[in-house]
Amino acid sequence: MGDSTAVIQVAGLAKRYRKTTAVKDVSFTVEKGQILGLIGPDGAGKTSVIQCLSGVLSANQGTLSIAGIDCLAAPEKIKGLIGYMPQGLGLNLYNSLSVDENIQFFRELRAIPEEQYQRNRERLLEMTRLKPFLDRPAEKLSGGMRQKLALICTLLHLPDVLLLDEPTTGVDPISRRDFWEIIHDIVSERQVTVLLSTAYLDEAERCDSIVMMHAGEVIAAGTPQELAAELDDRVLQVSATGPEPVLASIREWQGLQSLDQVGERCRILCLPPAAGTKPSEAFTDYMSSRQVSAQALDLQPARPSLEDVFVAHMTASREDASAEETPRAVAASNRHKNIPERESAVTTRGISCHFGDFKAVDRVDLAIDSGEIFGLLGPNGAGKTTLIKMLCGLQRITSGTARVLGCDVLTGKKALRHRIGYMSQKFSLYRDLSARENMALYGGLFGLANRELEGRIGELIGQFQLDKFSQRRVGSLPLGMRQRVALACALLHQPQLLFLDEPTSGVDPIARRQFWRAIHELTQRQGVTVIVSTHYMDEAEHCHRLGFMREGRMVVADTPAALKAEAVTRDGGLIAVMTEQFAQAFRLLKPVFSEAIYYGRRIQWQSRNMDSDRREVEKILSGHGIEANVEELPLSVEEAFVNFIEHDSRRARVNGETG
Amino acid sequence: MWRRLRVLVKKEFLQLFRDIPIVLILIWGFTGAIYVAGHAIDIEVNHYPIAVYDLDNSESSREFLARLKPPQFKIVRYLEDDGQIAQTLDKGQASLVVVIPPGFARDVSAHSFVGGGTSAGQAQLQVISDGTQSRTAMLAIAYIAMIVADFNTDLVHMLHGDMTVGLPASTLPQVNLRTRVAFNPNIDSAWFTSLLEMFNMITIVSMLLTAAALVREKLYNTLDQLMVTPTNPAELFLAKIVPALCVTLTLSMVSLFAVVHLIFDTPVRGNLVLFYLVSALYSFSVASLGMFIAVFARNIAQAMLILFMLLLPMLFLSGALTPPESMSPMMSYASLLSPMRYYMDFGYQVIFKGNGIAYVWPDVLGIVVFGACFFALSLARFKKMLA
Repeated sequence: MGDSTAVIQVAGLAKRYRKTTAVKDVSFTVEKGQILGLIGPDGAGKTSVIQCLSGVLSANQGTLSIAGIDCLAAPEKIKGLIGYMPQGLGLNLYNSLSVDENIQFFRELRAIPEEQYQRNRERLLEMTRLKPFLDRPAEKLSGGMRQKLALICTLLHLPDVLLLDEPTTGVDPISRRDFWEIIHDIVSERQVTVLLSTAYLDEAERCDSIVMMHAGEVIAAGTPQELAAELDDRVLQVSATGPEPVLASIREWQGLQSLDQVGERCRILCLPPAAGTKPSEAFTDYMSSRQVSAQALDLQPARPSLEDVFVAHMTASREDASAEETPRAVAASNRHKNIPERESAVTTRGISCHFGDFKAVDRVDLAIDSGEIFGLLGPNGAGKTTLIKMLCGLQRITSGTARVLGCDVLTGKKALRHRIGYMSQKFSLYRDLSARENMALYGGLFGLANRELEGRIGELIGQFQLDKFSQRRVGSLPLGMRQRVALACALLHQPQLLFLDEPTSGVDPIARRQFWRAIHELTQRQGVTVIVSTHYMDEAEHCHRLGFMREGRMVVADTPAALKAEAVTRDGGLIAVMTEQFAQAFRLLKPVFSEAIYYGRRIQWQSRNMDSDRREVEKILSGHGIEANVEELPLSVEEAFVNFIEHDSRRARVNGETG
Repeated sequence: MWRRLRVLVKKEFLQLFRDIPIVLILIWGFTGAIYVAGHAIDIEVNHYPIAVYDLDNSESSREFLARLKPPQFKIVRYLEDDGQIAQTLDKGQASLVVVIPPGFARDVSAHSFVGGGTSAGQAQLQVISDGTQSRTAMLAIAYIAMIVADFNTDLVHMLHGDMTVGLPASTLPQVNLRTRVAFNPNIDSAWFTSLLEMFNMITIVSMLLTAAALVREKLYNTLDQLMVTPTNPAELFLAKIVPALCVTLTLSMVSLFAVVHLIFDTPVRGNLVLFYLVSALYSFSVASLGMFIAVFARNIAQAMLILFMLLLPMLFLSGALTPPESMSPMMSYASLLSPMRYYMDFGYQVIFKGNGIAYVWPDVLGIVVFGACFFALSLARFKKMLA
């Protein structure tokens, strides 16, 4: 779209911090009016690239330019052109200043002329819906609101180029939608060029093109469609409810590159097929040789996601990354096997936690069965961490009662400690100790000693494939490895109930898959109950049941399928419009379908009258000579979440409740 | 309980010794810093810079000025007009100005004494002192007063010697002062300051290491992780205090013998077992105070700031710089709250005087009570925060 001149050019960029190489030989260009997504897990080098471009860092090698100006030679010159938003929720804001004062400050900093300032400010406040909160100090805003305010401050001087570093990490899906709408608006209106980084692979599908990074290198680049097209026919879905030998047979299949079990479905990524063959046929042939019919498997082709792309590239480029690398079977030893099945693991009645006026957790009722994987979903500040801490006995309970494994959390705290495991946010390990020393510490605290301790550590090191790293200091381990060490530490005393607080934040997709597989094995083989919080919506499918949290309240708790079904019953199925001229189509459709949003190049909304809406869309678009493909898509957990949260906030407004 | 404590203490030691810069700084603190303190801190009047405005310029005035000599004094400047007096003091070129008015020699020979009084017939001498450094200024004035007194005595001798020919001057009636200083016969201030610095180091390091260790657990979120294990807060606290205590005791042994005793020749007269036993108690006490701070502080910077804001008043109230008896009544009572007061008193008594437990038990009691209170307080506060 537009004239195709490269606004951002990066060639052969390398950046080293002393001994560690953060970025090596990265090249890409971004055309005017395009959104380029820099994606990859933590430590991939995304931030370094953005900081080099914004003039915050100097590069060791390579050339960088924005609108023809050399970023390394003249970092001061580009500062007027760009808007840069650093990583972290609203890190460029001043917490004690109000929304209005923050905006004022950036205006003065950039010396923006009065007229332009007034016009922009009004428009941005309207788009972000922050106008009612002008007097509120920035520290009292929710994560999503902070991020929107940060965006206003970045956009105030009408920059031509936007550099956004993980702008949506930890932001709730609704604020994320607002955020994308603003970005799409300014791009289509002013032909702004955007470079943004994200750790959410599903979100990257909203970008025009993608640069996928891992360990400082570009592993794939192109439009989302191009990247997904590489994997055409190679992603299959089968039912995972069959007997265990079926899954074992799948794992032994020669054509298998990676297997991911998500809820009741298994996602199979096939190795690149020989010319003229189709992986799905090869797979059916193989399975029937193992006496498993295609019907029993419920084999279906799946649309390749960017996560599949990442996994395909990473496992192809890493010799040790095969199905072998996933954690081995968990030893069946279990001290606490004597709990009856389906006993309730956690029950709470109206538990709340207040910090002054602030209700971090507000009257939550929960019932979690033993052996269940229960997922807590919600944006930062929804109360997930506080709820988990209350159940662990780490946070005082203002009111209500909670029983964990049959004991009252308050009175049975000491006894419970031997039976629960807890993994806090950001893998709280001692970085200056080695993996083994960390494990020995926690084992020792749980009363394990000598041979028993050594045996248990050896077992877990084997199970989580930590052999090569057990002597290294945790601080020097990659994030995915740290996550496994933390899980091993939480499992040393063989707990019956495991609390995981955002266990996968920032971890790369392969490590995430291995992690989830280990969790599934724990629940299946040892009957361990797992309560996990996450803000990755796509991960939610791994859970048996989900609890959606918002502002301290449990909005709803049910199975993923039931939640999606309920959202469909309430507001209809998801209608998706795919067209080349999506920007124009959006302008035409939005006045008629006010709930329509951009999802990458797709326009979608929930529709109660699928058929009539579809006809209407086709009529509008064909009237303007736009060719479009309209179809109904299944709801994802994210859409179900948004539906529930919006419904809940509407109800709260009607009832006149605050927030 | 003991096993958990052992596991935790081992972990603290591992963490401490892997932090090489900290280890190096600790060693410096107990050796180099004490050496510097012993040498540089000197409250004696040494080569005190003096300016002279001699309007008389007579034999008598020169005779007097010749007595303002090193090591106490050094005449750095002769002034030419009275405008220069203020200027010299303002610029800090001299800390004291001696003004000898015209007619000094005449008044002296008119059988009168040098003095500050205004009665007719007495010779006048003016001293203008820079009071910024009040303590040394006072000392310098006292020295000058002594010199004036000597000068006067000599004048009397001259006078009487003239009048009563044949009698030796020493037969004149006068009080002759003979001093003998116990415990530090040469009043070598390095003995005092090097020990003071060592006591300071014991205080700072005990507090800081424990406070930092706890705040770090908060910062890296590891505290929650520990608190879901069967560990209880008391074990955690002890595990933080024990390494700090071991480190300070070991290093203070090194510094007492290698620096304080060997380099400065400070005598170590008391019972060393008693000294180290009570030092351990004291280390525990101030470490408990460090814990108390760490329980409240949200980050390392806050903890450090609170710590130093407490440390200085504690030092001033310790009685090491001013004896508590010389403080105003309120401050004197306040000094009872400073654990350093008990420890300094104990330390100097044992090291210099060789006193035993019969003399120092009140100090030991103070240290124990202080430590017990703060350990209990911080533990209570910590438990309240958790539950």
